Amino acid sequence: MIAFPYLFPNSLFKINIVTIVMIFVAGLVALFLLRLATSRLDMRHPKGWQNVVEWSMEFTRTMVGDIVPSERFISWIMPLSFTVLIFIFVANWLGLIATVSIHLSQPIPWLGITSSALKASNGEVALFDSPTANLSMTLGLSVMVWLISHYQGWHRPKQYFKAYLNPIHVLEEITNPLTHGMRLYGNIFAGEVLIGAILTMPVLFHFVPTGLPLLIVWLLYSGFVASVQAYVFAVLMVLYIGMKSYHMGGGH
Amino acid sequence: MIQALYAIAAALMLGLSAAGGAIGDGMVLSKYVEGVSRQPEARGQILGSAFIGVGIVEGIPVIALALGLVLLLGKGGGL
Repeated sequence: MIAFPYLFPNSLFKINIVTIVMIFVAGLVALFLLRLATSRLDMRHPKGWQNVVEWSMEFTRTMVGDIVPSERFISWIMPLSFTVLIFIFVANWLGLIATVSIHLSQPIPWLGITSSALKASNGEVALFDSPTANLSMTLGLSVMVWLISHYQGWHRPKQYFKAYLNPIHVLEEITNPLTHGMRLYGNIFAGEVLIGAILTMPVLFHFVPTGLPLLIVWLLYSGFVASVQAYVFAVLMVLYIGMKSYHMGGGH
Repeated sequence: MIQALYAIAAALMLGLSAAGGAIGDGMVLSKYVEGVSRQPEARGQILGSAFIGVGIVEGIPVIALALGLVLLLGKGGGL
């Protein structure tokens, strides 16, 4: 387990500095990529990066339309679903492209890097990591989705409470946000830990990296997983919110 | 002793969830092949839905993998 620097390490609300910074880095990268597409707008002959971004917006629109075929709901949720899709996609790929860690020999107690945490991580402290490889961050996102879905449900109290006559739906209120966040966290975290484990494989005669074929295969698979999980997170978000958006033509 | 118990717990969790995930993946993809053979022109649409299904089914074993890694590497104190 790699060690992380924390703010307020001894209180209940300890804050992982790397995750907070990486959330903003992922947001800035996404902002930069999208601003790049609008910098040279051409309505008549769109080309290059603008085409790619327009295709991804069209992709999001059909993704929402397949789940809730209502024009009002689609135009309401398009900004949120597109933002979440792009942000999580960028966040997942940031950790695949680079993870940076430094080697510390002295513990820094006021940052939460205690000697026992350093011992468990062999002195490695993360500096640049995927923000979605943190359980608090992904569960925070899924709780946000849960809150939005209930806000949507309150517009039609009768249908909203009628759904709970089925006890399965009461259970789903707990399991849906839990698995929603844990699925993203598990995929990204397991991928990064296995990359770290493969990198520690021995180098024969100082120049034959035994882990290289394994690393290439696992990186390709992780890239696939990072893209699919961003898509799955956005699809499930639209599904959970659409299930409760009775006044916009959604519903079970 | 405690170390061995953590190792056994992680192994049980990973093995059982891998078995369940394999059955689930097999069911999703067999239905995908069935659908494509019945309607070959709808291949692209069905492939998208099949990947969503695989992503959702894979969620549970991967959650178990992450928790197992936390158990093993963090020696139980990682959570």
